[in-house]
Amino acid sequence: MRHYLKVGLIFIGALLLFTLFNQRGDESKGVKKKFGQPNKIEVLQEQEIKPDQNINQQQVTKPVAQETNLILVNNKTENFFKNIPRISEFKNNPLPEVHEMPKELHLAGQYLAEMREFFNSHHVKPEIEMSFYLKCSQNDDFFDSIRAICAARMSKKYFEATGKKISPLLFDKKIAALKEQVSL
Amino acid sequence: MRSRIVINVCLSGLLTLTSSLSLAHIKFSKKIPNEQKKLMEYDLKNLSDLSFTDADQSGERLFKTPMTKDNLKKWLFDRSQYIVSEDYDMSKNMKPLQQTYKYPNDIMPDFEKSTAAPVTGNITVVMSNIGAAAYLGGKKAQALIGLDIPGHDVIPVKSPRVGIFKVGAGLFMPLLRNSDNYKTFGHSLKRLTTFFHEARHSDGNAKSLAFVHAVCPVDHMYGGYNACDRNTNGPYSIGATFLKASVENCSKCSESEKEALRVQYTDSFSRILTVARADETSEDAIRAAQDTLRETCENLANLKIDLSQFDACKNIDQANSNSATDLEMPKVGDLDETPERGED
Repeated sequence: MRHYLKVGLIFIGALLLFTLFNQRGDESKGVKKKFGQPNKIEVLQEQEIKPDQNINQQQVTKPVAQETNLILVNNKTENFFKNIPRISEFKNNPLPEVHEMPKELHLAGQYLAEMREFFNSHHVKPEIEMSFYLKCSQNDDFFDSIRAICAARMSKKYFEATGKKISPLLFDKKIAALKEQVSL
Repeated sequence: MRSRIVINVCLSGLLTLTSSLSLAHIKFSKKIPNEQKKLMEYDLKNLSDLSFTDADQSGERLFKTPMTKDNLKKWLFDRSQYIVSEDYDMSKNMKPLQQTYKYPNDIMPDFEKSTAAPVTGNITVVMSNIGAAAYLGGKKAQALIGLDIPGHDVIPVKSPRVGIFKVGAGLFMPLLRNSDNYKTFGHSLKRLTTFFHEARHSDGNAKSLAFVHAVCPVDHMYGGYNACDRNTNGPYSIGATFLKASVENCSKCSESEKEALRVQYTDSFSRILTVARADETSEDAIRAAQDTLRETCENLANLKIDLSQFDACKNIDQANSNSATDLEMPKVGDLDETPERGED
């Protein structure tokens, strides 16, 4: 029994080492796999990453950790774009009360807040955040206020990266105007 | 007719008394659930903990006074007197006090007719300024009416400043999905914003009376509903400006709370109807805007941002500079907020 366990552990260790070396080899050749590709939000298999499914963070080296992070990011952003309530959903339902924020927008705001918290806690690359916020700002089925905040965040990230102001023409007119009201 | 007015005016508003400013003024109906009452008292207490920067000048224009916690508290309490519960039936509690009554004018605000589908299903009450609605009803009938507040007297409604607010469960919705703690500072700000919004309905005279809302245009998210303002100092401006300043100065709010609150104030700003400037744009301005767009697109490409799905970077030469920066806030401007009052 112990023998099998030992063999199993050696096999897992070898596999891990092989993966790491292979990855480093690719990077040294300039083949960066997903990392060097345009930072569009890639559609990955929809899967919830549960804590016990994660590779033991203490044992893996940096490249693997980064890849895990990218999968997490992709999952999180895909979930956001898939599940955030949209204007079309809200318009399909009779509106009992629009004096205050409709519940769909309320929920959409919670999704956006969760993304903010996620980006903050995972130190995601600025380009990835920018891609996310740009995509969010362009979806005309998202609520205007959601799009405006995404546009404002995109503009801020862009300024931090380039030292220049973003062109307002990148955004829909009403969104560009509304984003000026957002203070970050 | 009275119930129709209640809906048209839209209304919503607040609170209690942890400072000398409020103690003498705000009273709760005895039917208010104790938990709600405690939360509102907590919110008022938090109002004393707010701080603002000198930069909040739009707030100073709106509130007619520098934005400080004491000034804001006074502003709110001047417009808030009583809080009644969700099940308060205004028509049943409305008492005729005088068959004829002299109002300062007979001019009513323009009630824009909603073109949206009729309301169906259960209505979640957030908050409504029923004092202003009652004043409008009395003025229309040229009679003096009073509202019977459980546990208090019949209150004669001689001004929209009578400040009677109905509060419902909708006010106490969670700010975040994973938060069932309604006593965070962020939750307080969310609720206080609604109070400030509703308090503005206690203002105005003649055409500006009660600052009734406008119907949102068809291409607006809330197209067809009485859920917009054409002016720059109405309830949505008040609520949004208060919340924006509060969020940016909030050291007790979490980042996710702040983001959720930004959605709330941005939604309010989106309801202040904007108009595009009709000025001709010079060729130079268009060219300069296109150059900026070209530079932006190049920089984004260098940052490896995938732009393939964004039309703006594909048709730069067709881009017109008459956009975002040329859009301005409404031309209607500020309405007269002086509250009218009938004879004593």
